[in-house]
Amino acid sequence: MSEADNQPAPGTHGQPVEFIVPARLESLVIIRTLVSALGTLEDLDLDAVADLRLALDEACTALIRSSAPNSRLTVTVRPREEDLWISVSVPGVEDDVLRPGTFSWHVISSLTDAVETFHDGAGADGPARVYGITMTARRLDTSR
Amino acid sequence: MFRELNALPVDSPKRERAREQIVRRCMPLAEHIAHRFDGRGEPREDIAQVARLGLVNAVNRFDVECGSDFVSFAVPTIMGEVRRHFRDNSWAVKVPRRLKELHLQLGSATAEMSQRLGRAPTASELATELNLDRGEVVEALIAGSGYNTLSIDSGGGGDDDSSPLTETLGSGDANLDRIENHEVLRPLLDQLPERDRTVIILRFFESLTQSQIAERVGISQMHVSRLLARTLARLRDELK
Repeated sequence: MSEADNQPAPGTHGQPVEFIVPARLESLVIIRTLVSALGTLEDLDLDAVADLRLALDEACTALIRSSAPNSRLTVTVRPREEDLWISVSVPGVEDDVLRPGTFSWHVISSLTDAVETFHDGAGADGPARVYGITMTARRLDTSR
Repeated sequence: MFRELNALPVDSPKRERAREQIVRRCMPLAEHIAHRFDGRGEPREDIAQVARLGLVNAVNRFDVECGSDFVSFAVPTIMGEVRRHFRDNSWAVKVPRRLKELHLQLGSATAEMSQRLGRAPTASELATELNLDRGEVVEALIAGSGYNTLSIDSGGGGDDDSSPLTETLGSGDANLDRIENHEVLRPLLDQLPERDRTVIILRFFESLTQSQIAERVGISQMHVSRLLARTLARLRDELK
């Protein structure tokens, strides 16, 4: 028998992974595939990985639909001790794309352990304001 | 020679001998063609074998009366046989086939372990269970979900052999009222095919995991995932 259980997950060794794709619906396949690859590598259970794919679909579709043409969507995946932290963001979106209480919000929060939205950057004359959604997928508590 | 062959009665041993003679005589042709496919990743002897088989077929099918000479008939026939061999056995096909087998293995192990653990397994747990390399398992899982991705987009119902599921739905409906736009959402949910709606309600309003839903509805977890992805996409479009 292999001792896979006792080895540290040989994922990204805790280093964040970041990638940028065109903010177009066609990019969803790439986002889904890369993030679920990272989730699998980080040893999330398969239900959590499958849920994460759906959550990303929901979050990124909302971002892409409200972004300006030719914008780029940034995805950051940060493996942490207890969970996987994922941020998706686009520049130049001012209003709240994802509001608590909506069905979309309900979907994403059912599929992940925490959802938040954020605004970054100065806006006005400075660099374009960035709007983003962060979510976390908790690791299994193997001590159970 | 072919004329002689054709003159002989179909089942006679003489005809058989004449045929063999032709095949033996043309064998260098088959070898020559096989040689052209050297170094393409298939064992040389396999290709030669296939080429010889192609030659036999060519001899059997050749019609002298149609005017052309045997070589110009045999060459494309043998080439076709060898190409078909490559198409069926070549590397590009072999790898996914191996992955596909692994994928099936992972599928049944996942179902079995989910039952046992009461939750879906991780890649490491699957590797330990099947005594496979963790990296290999991760890759197969990713390849599998990639394959999955394609079928999400090609979606479309057709397979709605839904069992009576209505009784499995309990308080989900009440939870729906917590959604801000529930008065828009409810009629959209009502319009969904029964199984799609059931899966959505179990996942989002009764908080069952995908594996639990799979068990309850009697389909694979991957199928649950596909249904959810497709239905959520539909709802997103309609709520837009």
